[in-house]
Amino acid sequence: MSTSTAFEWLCGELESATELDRLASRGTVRIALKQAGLDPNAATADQISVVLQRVLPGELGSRGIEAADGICSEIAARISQAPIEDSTHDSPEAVFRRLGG
Amino acid sequence: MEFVVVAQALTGALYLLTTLIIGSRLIMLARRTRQLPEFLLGGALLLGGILAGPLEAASVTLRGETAPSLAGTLLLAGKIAGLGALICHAEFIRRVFRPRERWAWLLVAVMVSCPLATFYGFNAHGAFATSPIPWNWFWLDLSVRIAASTWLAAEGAIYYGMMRRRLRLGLADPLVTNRFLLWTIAGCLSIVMLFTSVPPMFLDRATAGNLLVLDLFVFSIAGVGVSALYFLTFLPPESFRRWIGTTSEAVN
Repeated sequence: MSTSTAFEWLCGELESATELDRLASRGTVRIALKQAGLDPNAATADQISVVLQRVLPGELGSRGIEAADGICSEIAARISQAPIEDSTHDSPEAVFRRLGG
Repeated sequence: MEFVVVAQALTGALYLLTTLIIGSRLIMLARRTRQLPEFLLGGALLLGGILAGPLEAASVTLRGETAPSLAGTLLLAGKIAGLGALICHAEFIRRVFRPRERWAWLLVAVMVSCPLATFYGFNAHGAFATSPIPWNWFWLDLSVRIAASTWLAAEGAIYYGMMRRRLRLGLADPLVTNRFLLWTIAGCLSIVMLFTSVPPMFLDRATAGNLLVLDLFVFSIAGVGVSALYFLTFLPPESFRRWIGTTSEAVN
């Protein structure tokens, strides 16, 4: 089962910008996404952007990462140029939006 | 007893009307959007609610009367429609909630295989001709239907939890979030309907009248609940949309 390109991109950015290793950065992003009610397999660039602003700084802070707000802002500023592809699958949210008109 | 039977007939009619309206609307939506989920759900509602349920109920009624061969034919037609409904139902859940998981494919395959096996069992015992229903096969058939409704309600509940967390971050629409809650409750009430549809096939009116009244009462309440929830989920009136929006703003 493959994770979304947005998830993979964020994990890579976090690994480069902090002292977290690959495993720790992926775990941290997974926890942040879970707190936001998002699925790592289907997260989109817009959703990742909100997670970077509202959830991830707190998660990084709790892991002793200094200047977490600044790191997240820098990563968020690069998200529009990131090679992120939206999922080809319809999310349950999109399906239920259509079903109710 | 008579009052409860009349109430059950009325709620049954309401349920049929609801599934007809919602199912037809979803099929029309599928024609417009050319998307499979709305087609599968519309198909499940029409095949299950309009054909399978009434045909099987008519078969049970006629079986004890004077037309056992007609009852057998109706049972066969009901089972075929029920199988179609189950395929649509299970594939809708897999496609929408678990498109990437292999176990979901396996679960759908098991869910479709069991009713196919019951076709063999029913036929081998002559239930599609004039013989009584073989209960072992009946229980297997019912278990699969309950499992499908349980899967549906569970996926709805899990996704509702995720949508509530998204809503707090402004990542979700309150009305769509609420739709998952309504869907989950409707799924739970459908399970109640399935369970309460069984006792009338076993219990005798003369000796277990009170229990039958209670059973029909619960069945009717669940039927009304499912009908109302389907309307709010798939055809929400403007006042309901406004109410959900206002409530969400107040909470936030």
